[in-house]
Amino acid sequence: MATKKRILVVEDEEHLAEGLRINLELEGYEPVLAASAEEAWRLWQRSRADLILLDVMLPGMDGFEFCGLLREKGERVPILFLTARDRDEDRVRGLEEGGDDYLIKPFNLRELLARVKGLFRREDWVRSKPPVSLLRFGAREVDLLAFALRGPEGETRLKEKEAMILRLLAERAGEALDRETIIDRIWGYDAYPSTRTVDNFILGLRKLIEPDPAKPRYLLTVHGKGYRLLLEEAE
Amino acid sequence: MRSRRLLLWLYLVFLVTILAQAGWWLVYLRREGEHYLNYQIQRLQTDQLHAAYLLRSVPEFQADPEGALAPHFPDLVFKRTASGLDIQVDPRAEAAIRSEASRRRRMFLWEGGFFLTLLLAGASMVYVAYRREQAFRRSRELFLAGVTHEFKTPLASLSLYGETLERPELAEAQRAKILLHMGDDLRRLRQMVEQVLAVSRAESPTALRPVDLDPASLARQVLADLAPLFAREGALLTSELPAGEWVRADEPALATALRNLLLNAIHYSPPPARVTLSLNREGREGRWLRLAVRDEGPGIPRREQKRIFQSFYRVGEAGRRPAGIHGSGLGLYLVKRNLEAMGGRVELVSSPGAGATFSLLLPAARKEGD
Repeated sequence: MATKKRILVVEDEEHLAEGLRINLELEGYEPVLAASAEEAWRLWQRSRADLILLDVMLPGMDGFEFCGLLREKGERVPILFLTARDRDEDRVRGLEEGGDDYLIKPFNLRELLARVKGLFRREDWVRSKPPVSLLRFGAREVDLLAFALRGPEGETRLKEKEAMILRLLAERAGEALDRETIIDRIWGYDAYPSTRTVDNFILGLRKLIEPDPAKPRYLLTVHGKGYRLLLEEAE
Repeated sequence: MRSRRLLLWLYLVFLVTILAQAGWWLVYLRREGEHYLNYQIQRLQTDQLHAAYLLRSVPEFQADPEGALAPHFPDLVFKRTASGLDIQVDPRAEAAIRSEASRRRRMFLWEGGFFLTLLLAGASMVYVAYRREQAFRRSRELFLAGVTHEFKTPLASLSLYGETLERPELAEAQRAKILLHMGDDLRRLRQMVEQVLAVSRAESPTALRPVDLDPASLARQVLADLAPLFAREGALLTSELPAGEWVRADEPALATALRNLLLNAIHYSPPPARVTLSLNREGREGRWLRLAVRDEGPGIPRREQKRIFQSFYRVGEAGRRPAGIHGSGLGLYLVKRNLEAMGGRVELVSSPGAGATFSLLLPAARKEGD
């Protein structure tokens, strides 16, 4: 029997935490509850979780800070924010701190469970071995397994999201993918303002892989559609 | 945020421009004053030369120089001396010009100063009004954010529990526990609605209807309403409520304030809470009535004592709050608003570890029969 996926629930509202625990158990997960970020950090150090459901307004350290801390330590566990804060700035902040998804309270149980499943699916995709792991862009090459960019200037580490976007575009090389598809596969966000984020990531990627980022040769914009990656023939 | 900054910058630029203009205007007027003085003095000197020239070159004037020239040159004096006629500028005329020049200078300085002061006063009034409006808007935003959060939390758990109850695989014990929690959440929501309504009442003082009332009987009424809660929490209450005292107060507002203090005393004390309620007269000639609620809880640190009367202080601007406390975040805010609207005040005496005493101070009304 496969081991149960462990979900760390960081929520100081006792009733909500209890409701989440019951439902996650019924879904076959192993929920672990923490009422503060500090407690969550202690639990995390004792044993890692496969996913974190994270409230933002917590006593002491808040959810954004905790997420930032985990990412700073290089932890790549999927994080789903659960919060009553629904302003666009909060969503963007959640994204910037390295959150993978954002659900506003009061939320729909089915939607929450679907998103949890979606995050696990994405996680499986990320952890699976990419069909092509070495992408060549002229003098530079990207190693999708090592998250590394090697070129004449030496080796640079890619951000996780950057590597995932490249992998997604590479798996469907030559095909134009729209921003919503990219968001859905990489973040799972359904929030509108974050489509801009994709553009920002693409600009960042062009600086890394294109000989002349102003005249891209590999990572192309398809007007009215999205983006397309052209790969050189592997040897 | 950015547009507010821009507005402030524009205002600053406007102010600096106005000040520079006013400064330049003063400098300009001062220079004009000096020109006026020089011009007038020069005019007198020219008159003097002109008169001397006429005397020398026109033979008719030499017979009666004073009679012929004086009417044409009122600012000159003609003196006969041994060597002939001496023509001088009249010192009175020069003094008059100098005094006129200094009068003008004073006038410009006064007027300039006055208008500058007026301008600065106006500008600072606009600035103060702007800052006050900003602070008001900010406190409104925080209030709204706090209310939203406090409503959404029990709603989120109710909605989650509601959907959970639909699951057929749920165990009976779990079902019972969920129903219990849902009851708590509903109570919390109802309490929140009541507090928000009470805030809107407290914020329009015209809604208050002060009457002469007996605080002891009102306190007993509040205690009776809370008796089931006291019993459930195992709280121990001692009260000293002497009869025969009267205050002028709005009944619901005073009842809300007292209820909130009693609820806090229970919630913030480790069980079993020990709460004392007392009523005393004090002040000169016993003009004030003090209704005091004392608990033996953990006490409130000095730096927190002012802030706890702000709305949603618990929630705070940074979204931090102590664990395990489920108040509305409006209780003490309401206590303060209500008391102030009735001409009274709230006092807090507390130190960490030594419990807290919250007092409601209200002006005593005449006793019946006084």
